[in-house]
Amino acid sequence: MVVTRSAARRASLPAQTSTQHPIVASEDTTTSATSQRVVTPGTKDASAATTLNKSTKRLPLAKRNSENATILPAKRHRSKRTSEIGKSEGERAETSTKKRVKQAQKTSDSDDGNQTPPTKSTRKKTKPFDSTPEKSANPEEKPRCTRKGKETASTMTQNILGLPREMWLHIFSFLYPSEVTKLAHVSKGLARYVEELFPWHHIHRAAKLPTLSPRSRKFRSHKAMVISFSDVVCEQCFAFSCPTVGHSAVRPLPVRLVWNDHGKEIRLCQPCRRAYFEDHPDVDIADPVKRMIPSRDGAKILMRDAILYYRMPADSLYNIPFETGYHRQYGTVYYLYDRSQVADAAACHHGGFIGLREEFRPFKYPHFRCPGGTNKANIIPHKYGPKKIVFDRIMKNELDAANKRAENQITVLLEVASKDHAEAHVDTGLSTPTKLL
Amino acid sequence: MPITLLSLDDVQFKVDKEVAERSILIKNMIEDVGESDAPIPLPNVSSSVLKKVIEYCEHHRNDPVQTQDETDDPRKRSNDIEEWDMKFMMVDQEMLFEIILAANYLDIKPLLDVGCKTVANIIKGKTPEEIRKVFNIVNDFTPEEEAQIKKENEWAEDR
Repeated sequence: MVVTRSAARRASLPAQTSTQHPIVASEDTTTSATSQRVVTPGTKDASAATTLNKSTKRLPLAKRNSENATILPAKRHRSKRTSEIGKSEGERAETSTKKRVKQAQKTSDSDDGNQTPPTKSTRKKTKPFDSTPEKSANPEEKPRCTRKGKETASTMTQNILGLPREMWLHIFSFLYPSEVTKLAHVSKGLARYVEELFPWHHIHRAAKLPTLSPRSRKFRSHKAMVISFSDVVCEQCFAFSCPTVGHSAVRPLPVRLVWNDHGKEIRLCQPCRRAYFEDHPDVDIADPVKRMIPSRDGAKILMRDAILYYRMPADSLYNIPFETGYHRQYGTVYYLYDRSQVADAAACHHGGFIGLREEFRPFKYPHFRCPGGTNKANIIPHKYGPKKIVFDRIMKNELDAANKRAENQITVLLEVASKDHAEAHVDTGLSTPTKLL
Repeated sequence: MPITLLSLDDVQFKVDKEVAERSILIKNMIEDVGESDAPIPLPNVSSSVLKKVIEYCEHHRNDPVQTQDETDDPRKRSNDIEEWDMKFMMVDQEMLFEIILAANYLDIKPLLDVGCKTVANIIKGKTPEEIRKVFNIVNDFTPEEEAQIKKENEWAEDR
């Protein structure tokens, strides 16, 4: 008989659940709630005690926490302690979550150890500023609480998990969502905090993501939806920027921020990147590695690669002078751009080369794929230009302006070359400005 | 006029009124009760922590009151900790958490900010495994659960 774990849990059959691994912890709130209500020191039978001890041995931290006993849960359990707890409920409690069991262990220890009635501590909490504070009889018992006074109950906050919820909210406000999601991998308590405390709904609203309807089963929560859209949501302004064809420039790119030097790169959308670079200009903008220019000078780049690697919108590429070429085998027409010029234009467009190199990834959009592979050796530049190319999207005057600019640039470059005998410069420039129309 | 603060373990601290009023809680209380010689009991703060907090307040006694700049993104400010504060926060973790709790209780906003920034900076740029090691957290996931949570919490950069 095959019973899934969740089904068994839902049915809460003692026989089946007891065969499970003892570490298995359920997230089912109903069962955990019942177990919390049920587990009291009174119901702790021998077998339960052994499992509890085992669990605490495995977790030295929990043991330490249990020595410094909690107070508030003890109070809650005590008030709920009634006589009608049956045997079957006790068994269910035994097979309940490990976490709850741990808590129960804590409470039982506290009940054994500290004889101070919890009502006293509550009275103290509600009126913390009596004119004469009474010294507590037990020096070990230090009622430590926040103003709300429901989260922290341990005497010493030894662990980061001991911090109350408000503090976590405060800490989360200094973290980016990608850092917060990493935090969820650490432990269950933190995962719950990340789910509950981080303002996922705010991001959801800011990014204008589709409404989380109860009918759609795809996304369980705002968090799930935001994370599924995480590659198109800016982490700074939470703007949604979907890359359309040829407009991948607006896509969020990973940026290493100055104020985030401990952390990893953060995905920023194009306006955020530009704003960032106005404040923090790029120092080594001429670095060829950063510009993604290979050591070979005069490297040409295909239009498609310029769009992909430099994240340029196709419109702004038309302003750059280009050569045309055709595929040796298939005769497809290609536009060949000068790589350094594309890099300059990309720097203008994005504000530096942030994120471009990190995003240096091969194809994502299949409709760019060309037949017969895109080996550049197959692409031969036209000697005299193609006879007929339909430039339906290129403005003629724009092209003329680009050609004129290229000519000017080449004259400047030639002057420089004659001065500095730098042959590389001659190679990088377009040696013969191509008149395309 | 000095003000006497009484910590949890009955240690008295005499501080200037100016210093004590860094704490909004104490400030409000002085305003409510009026000037008196009676020590102010702080039943949530132990003496070691209170000493540290007073040290902070002594250093920042002349700081202007922070203007709330809600429009500014707090994540941008996560790194601008003063050098003195950075050194001040170089304590063991237990003490750090105690200071954060005390700052919350005493309502000292700048100290709370500095404490939370310190914790956030410790968290930043670390793998979950490293975070567990640093904060001494036990991994209480089963392997299946861990796989599930990894799938659920995966920001785009990890893909």
